[in-house]
Parts: sequence; C-alpha cells; structure tokens
Amino acid sequence: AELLFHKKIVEGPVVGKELPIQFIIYNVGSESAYDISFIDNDFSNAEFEFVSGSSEGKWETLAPNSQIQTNLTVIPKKSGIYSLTSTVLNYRKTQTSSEFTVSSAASYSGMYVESQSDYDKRTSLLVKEWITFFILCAGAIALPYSISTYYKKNYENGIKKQN
Amino acid sequence: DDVEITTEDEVVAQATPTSDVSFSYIFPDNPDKNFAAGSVVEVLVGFTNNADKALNITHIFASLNHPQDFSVFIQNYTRGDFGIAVEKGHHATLAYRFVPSEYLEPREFGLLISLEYQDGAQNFTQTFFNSTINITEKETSFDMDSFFLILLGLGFVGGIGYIVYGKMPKQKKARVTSKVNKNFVRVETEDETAEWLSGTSAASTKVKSVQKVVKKNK
Repeated sequence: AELLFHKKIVEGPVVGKELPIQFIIYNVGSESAYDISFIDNDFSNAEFEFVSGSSEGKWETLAPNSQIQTNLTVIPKKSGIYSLTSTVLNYRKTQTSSEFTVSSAASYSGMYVESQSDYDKRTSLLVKEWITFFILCAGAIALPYSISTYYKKNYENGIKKQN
Repeated sequence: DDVEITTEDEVVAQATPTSDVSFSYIFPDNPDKNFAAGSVVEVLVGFTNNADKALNITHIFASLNHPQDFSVFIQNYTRGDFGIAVEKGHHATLAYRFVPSEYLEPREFGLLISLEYQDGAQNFTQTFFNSTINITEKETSFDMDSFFLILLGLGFVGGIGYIVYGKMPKQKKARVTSKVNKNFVRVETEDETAEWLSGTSAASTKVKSVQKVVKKNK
C-alpha cells in the first residue's frame, strides 16, 4: 500500500473566525494499508481555540483507491505568520510487515493569519460609501429636476402664468 | 504509445535519476483527468526515498504540451519551491498546484509533471506524470458574456417598447384632434390668437396645429 497524506487549509485564516483544517489520507496503492495513525501539534497551542474535530487520527485499515479524512476546526486568536510542520503519518504497508512506514504530509510551510480589521477592510460591502454616493447622485438629479418642474408649473410658453 | 515513451526520453534529457526513489500521484479533485480551464489543479505527489542517504526535494514543475508531440510546449507552469528533506527509507507527500489558462481550447493536451531532487552531490530530474489529459470548458457560476448578452437583450426590448409607446399616443392624439376639428365649432383661445408668434421658437405646438387647421379650412 502507498498512502498520500494531505494537510489542507481550505480558507484563508482570519482572527476570530473558524478555520477548518482537513487531514486527508489517500491510498493510491493496490493493497490495503494497516494501523494508520497521525498526531498533529500545529494547532494545539495557546494561539488557537479548539472548536471541534480532532488533530489526530487512528484507523485499522484503509482499502486501496479510497480515502479517509479527519476535520479539525480552530479559531486563531492572534494575527501573524505561523510555521506549519509536516505531520507524520505512520502505517503498515501490509498486514504482516513489522516495520512502520513513515510519511510526511503535504502542507504549506507557513500560514498567515489575517487580523480582523484587515479582513473587514478587504471584504467590506462599503455600505456607508455607497449611501453617500447615492445621496450625492440624488442631489445632482433632484436640483435641476425641481427647477424644471417649477418652471413647468408656473410658466407657460415662456410666460409666467397669472393666477 | 511507444512513440510517446521515446519522446519522453528526449524531453527529460537530464541526469539519469537513481532507481532508489519511487513516485506516486493523485489528482484529488480531478480523478478522471479532466481539468476545467481556468481553475486550480492540485496534484499530490508521493516521494519514497529508498536510497541509503537523505534526499532533498527542490522543485516540482509542470507543462502542458501537444498531445501528439510532447516536445511542443503550450504552457509552462510556475515552479514550486519545496526544499524538503526526506530521510532514507521515508516517504513524503507534496502538493503542487497550477492553473491551466482559462483561454485554452477544451480538448486533449499532454501534461508533464516533473520533480527535481538532489542528494548533496548531484541534481536529478524525474518526470513522474507523462500522459494526455482533457481540458474541459471553463466552469463559471456567473458568466460576464451571458450577463452582457442579457443586458443587450433587455436594452433591445426596452428600446422597442419605448418606440412603440412613444408612437401609440401620438397617433391616437392626431386622430382625436382631427375629429374634433371636423365636427365641432372651435372656440378661440389665447394661444390660438397668438399668430404673431408663428415662425418663431416661441410658437407653441397648439398654434402650429391651429395654423394647419386654418390652412386646411381655407
């Protein structure tokens, strides 16, 4: 059996926002793998708040051409750059082999956690700015329009109506 | 197929890789080797070090080639820098991502993915993926082209509607006034007596129509 191990961070990490991490193991070999296990320590420190899931996995077998997955959700508490390690996966290639195969996961070498204010700035809908824009637009249209309606009401053929 | 293998040997004219390494790969999101143009393709590469010393993976790079002639390069993708040391007897998984151009014609292409590694003394390059793949049509939820096509269609409909709406009341109006002129004795208003304004821009439409009526009656 041959396993491929991917530590996947799907979304951009933001302070105070849930960050899902996926640990996916693919069996690309032609035989089953046995006694698969890993423990990840990148998110188990004080800088991350645990929400749900697990940062470790243990399975007895994995059939060929199939995959297994563990999800972990944490909330980053501080912005900045965090270095990520290659999580190590241990497994037996055959049921009888005494030796454990050691595999390191594909991952990013570093992860940048964006601060809340930067994230808001980047994704803001700019509601205030748009409202201001529409008020200014309305002013520019309403002023000439009111003048035009005033003349329509009070003048006829360029001569002031006499009431 | 034999032809392809020989061309592969021509393309990978680098140092002969040691047989002490083995490769595996998977396209997790595209297991059927159909890649949508303009979207990210991720490939996971497994690298097993069976040599008696540590090996250092330096780069992974990919290129899109002509499906019949792999020596014709259509696109080269950014080299991924890795610098990952793999101990002897160990295995490592690496993730490499590239984006086929969104302007690619949906058809068959040749894809080469190669990995560079070194043992401290020598560099090696090995192409572990050499096969034809399918580039499929760009997948989009919101297409700018169709958006503007719909906008253009709405513009046409609106324009036709505006013209029809603008013409309808005029015809009715004209009929009504002509009927009125024929059947009723007209009462002169202030407007109609303002004949001195005729021919100037101040002449009202009413005056003009009255003048026409007057001419007809004469």
